[in-house]
Amino acid sequence: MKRLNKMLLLALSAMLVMAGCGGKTEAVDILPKDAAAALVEQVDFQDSLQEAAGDVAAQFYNLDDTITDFAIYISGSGATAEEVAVLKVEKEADAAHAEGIIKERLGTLKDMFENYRPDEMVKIGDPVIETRGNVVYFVCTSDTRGAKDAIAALYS
Amino acid sequence: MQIKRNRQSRSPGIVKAVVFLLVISGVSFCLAFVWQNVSQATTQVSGDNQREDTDAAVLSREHVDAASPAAEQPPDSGEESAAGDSESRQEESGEGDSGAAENPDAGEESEAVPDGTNRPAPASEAVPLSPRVSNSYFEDAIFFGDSLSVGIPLYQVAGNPDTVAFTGINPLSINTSQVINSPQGKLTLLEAAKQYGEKKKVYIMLGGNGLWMDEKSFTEGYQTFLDSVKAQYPGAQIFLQSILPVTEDAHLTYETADNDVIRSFNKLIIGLAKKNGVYYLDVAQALMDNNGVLPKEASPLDGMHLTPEYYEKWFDYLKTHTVEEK
Repeated sequence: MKRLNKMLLLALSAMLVMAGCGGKTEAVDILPKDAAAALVEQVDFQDSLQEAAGDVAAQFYNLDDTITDFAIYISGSGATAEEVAVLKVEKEADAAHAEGIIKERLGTLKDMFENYRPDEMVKIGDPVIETRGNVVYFVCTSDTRGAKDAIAALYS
Repeated sequence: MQIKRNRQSRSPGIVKAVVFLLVISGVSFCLAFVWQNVSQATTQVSGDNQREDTDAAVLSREHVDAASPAAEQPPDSGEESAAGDSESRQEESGEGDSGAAENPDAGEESEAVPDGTNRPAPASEAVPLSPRVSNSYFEDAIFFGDSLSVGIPLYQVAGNPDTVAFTGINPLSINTSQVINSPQGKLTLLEAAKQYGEKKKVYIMLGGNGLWMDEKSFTEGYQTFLDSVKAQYPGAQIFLQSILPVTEDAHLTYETADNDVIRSFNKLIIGLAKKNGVYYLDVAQALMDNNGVLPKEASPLDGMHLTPEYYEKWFDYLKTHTVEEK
């Protein structure tokens, strides 16, 4: 039953983020805000994630003008390295730049937690980073399988 | 018959005597009871008046002393509610009158308030209760700290004051670790703070990640940071916030998280505040329960990091413990 609910949620979120695609999966127009919310909803996290306001998120991730739209959720309590980020760029060619930003953030998380909470390094050491067209996804969680499924569901 | 008549004639007299004695006893008992209650009531009223006078005096003095940093404040400058009895006791004993700056041990936190709980008394050197301010009070403030302070912008607490914080930072690493991303590369917290310009108030919450340190390293590291803050923000009011309490089982996640250790390190911070002539804020008081620990509901995940509700409590305390600018 729980699995069925999860599948329904995945399907629903896929419908939501595909709102502008006209039914053509190859032209999915991802809205980072909706996509990130769907990931937070569907992936298992230990902590409660909090959406970072635009300027705060930009500061945490050192975002620049290359990133045209984004949504970032961070461990609300600050106790874990769990995060979700969806960064969108204008052209696919810029996706590598967004990936670089994600990797820089990953390095920051490593600096934060390696001495502070070494148990979080398991998540930091095995993050989900996926690029789909002009959108880059980053999910720091122990539920990597769930994160990959949830990202795939956005395009299914 | 005569005897009988005599007995008959004596009986009413005896009965009257007994009744009389009973009435007298009853009246005496009632009078004694009433007198006792009246006495108690009088004592209570007198005590209440006395306490009101004391509270009024403390509040009055609070306003007078509000602009004095930790080194200058009298040790009885007060705290609200739960500590009332403790304050009175401190005032009577004149504890700390010798001058806290000369004797770092004078006027330190007492072990517990005499209210039947294990809650430690407020630090007498802390900024006392003051009229509540609004979020705009923090517009010219900047906050430095560790993961707890990271939650300030994340939860948009108190109008989202400028905050530079980094998870895991401690009194040593804060001086040298270049951890804040910027277009110019990685910066220390103080370097990164320059983007916010001049500030009139600096709030520091530091030390929760330094509980493993020896006292010398902790104090020296904190002092180095304070020196840098004073150099970068000359003339600003500087507030050192206490390390916050943790839940009883926080040590399951963080080996060094222990409330006794935290209290001892907070004494070091009080000493630093006195030595540097800056303000100490006993924020821990706002978050602890009657056992002197962080309640589980405040940090269900790990016993240290706070829920949004407890950020509000934290900032409620800051808003009601301010000092007027000189």
